[in-house]
Amino acid sequence: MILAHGIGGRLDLPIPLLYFTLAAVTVLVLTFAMLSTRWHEPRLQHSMSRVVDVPPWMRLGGGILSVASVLLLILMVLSGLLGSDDALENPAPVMVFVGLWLVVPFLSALVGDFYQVIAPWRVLARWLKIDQAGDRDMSSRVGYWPATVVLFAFTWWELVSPVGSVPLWLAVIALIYTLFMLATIGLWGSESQLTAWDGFGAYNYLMGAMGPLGRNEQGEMVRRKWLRGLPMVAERPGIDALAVVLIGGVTYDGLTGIPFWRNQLAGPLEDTLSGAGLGWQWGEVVVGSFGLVAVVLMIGWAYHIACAVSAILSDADVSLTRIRIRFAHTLVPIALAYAFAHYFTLVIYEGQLFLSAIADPFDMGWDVFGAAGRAVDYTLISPTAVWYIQLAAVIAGHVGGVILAHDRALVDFPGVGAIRSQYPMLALMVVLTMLALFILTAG
Amino acid sequence: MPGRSLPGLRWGPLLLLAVACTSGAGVDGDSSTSPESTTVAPPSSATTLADAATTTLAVTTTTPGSATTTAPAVTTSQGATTTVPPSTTTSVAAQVPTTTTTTLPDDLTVVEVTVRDGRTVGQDRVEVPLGNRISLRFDSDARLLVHVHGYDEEFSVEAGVLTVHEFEGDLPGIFEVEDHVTHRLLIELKVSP
Repeated sequence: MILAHGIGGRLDLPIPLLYFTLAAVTVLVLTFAMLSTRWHEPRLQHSMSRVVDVPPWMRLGGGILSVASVLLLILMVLSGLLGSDDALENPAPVMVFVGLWLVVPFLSALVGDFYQVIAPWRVLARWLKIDQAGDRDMSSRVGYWPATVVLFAFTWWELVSPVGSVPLWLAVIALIYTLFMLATIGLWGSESQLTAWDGFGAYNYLMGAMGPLGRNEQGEMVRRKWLRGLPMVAERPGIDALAVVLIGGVTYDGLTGIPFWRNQLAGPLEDTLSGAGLGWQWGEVVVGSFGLVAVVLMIGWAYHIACAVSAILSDADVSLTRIRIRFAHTLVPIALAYAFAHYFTLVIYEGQLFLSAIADPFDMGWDVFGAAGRAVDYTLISPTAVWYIQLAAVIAGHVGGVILAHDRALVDFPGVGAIRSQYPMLALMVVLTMLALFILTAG
Repeated sequence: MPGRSLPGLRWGPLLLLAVACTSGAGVDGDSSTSPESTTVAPPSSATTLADAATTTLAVTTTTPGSATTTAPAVTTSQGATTTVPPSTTTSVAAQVPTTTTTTLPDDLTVVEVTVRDGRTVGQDRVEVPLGNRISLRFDSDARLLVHVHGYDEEFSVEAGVLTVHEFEGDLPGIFEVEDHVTHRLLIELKVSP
């Protein structure tokens, strides 16, 4: 594989598997037992948020960040077009794969969806005055599907395509994406476009629903407790696929880092294709695409099966698609846990590249902040600390998923069916926990 | 959905636990049997042709090796690249050696990598103890521009010329070593305590 995650080149040491897995599974089962015996009434299913005024500093900060994000987009495109063609010396790859792809969603989960305020495409549309009221029919019709396709394509671009980290290509893609965003905003208005057509908009919307700040139907800012926004997430078609793509992408990235995957699965396939006359780059692309699709489908299939068995056990008269959509929000903390456990060291380490790269964005020998030759300090966190942070993230994410699923089941499968319906969900969470830990350990 | 209730529901949680435990054990077994590069004990265990090559190589490179160990001032972050004339590798021409790792007594880990048709022969995961000096020895049939990520070591390997590059393995983690000509992964260095 070529540069397994866009940029990077460094992976974490594997965590010791058996004890960690046992600990994680025990915590999940105990949580489930506690929920079954102590949590009989739904507590999270109605909006418990209160409207707050936007303080002036936040309004000002939002304005400054909006302008900054447009400037960063322009800088990213220009440095991609004009700067160094080395992915580690050009700021564009770090800005996209660390900034946009990881830091922004992590911060959204922490504070709430601020992406919708600062997204450069929305700001540009506002300046160009093409963001109209919006067409709610469109967003309920297409649901999250276009955004899901965007996220899948982005994941493919980063992890499979042979040019994932080539700055020039990134700049071209960013320009195309900007046009795509402006066109869809122009057609349907920036409100309904956000989660329907902008992959990052939908991603941050889901992550931001965990954070304490949000917006209600009237567009006012609300405060709520952590995780409280998730059950209120707009349930539109494709929300399950969106969460599955997020989890599947990280899983695929982890699996390709395992020698067994490379040497016993992908390697021989690539060799077979090369033997059949395909160049090795194309062999890798074909095998990688197949692998990414397969992993995403496997995760989706596991979720589908869990929902199907839930439906049978709970004896409820609800369509399977409806159940899949109703429980999709329980996958969001898991998606965050997967991404965070897998990538937080990438943020901390490769994020440092931003400083040295931004000092000379156009490869003209500048040294704007005196950081041009700065090397990445790989000693900030000890491997043991990394393990515990990864373990804590995985456990917290799955416990969050179990709690949300239990609470939703109390509403959707009333009576004795609620607990029963959650056996398959618990099984799914256990499987996903073990998969996450397996990937983090097997590398 | 027919058959709305399944028998033995009470045993659900127990079953789950059992499944969790057994699959946990299975996963563990998998990872232990999954191929990892073997860490060969010092040259005493030399038996085959490839190992014979190992020892001759070790002999040919004692000069840079001892030079660095006697002069610690050189052993900072900058690595030293040495090339060895192709004559030393003639005996290996018939059989292509796979990746080997040898840890020598004075905290020097020798990693020998053979690249044919742009691909590493044999295992591509190499384990190195943290804190050792790493000696990468490349033998390739095409020109390579080897880049060790994280350590940011970069050196070129000419076709047919055995090239030795040494640096301190003082950063823990798994680091990709890729060829910057084709951007292909050559090996991964797993540096762990």
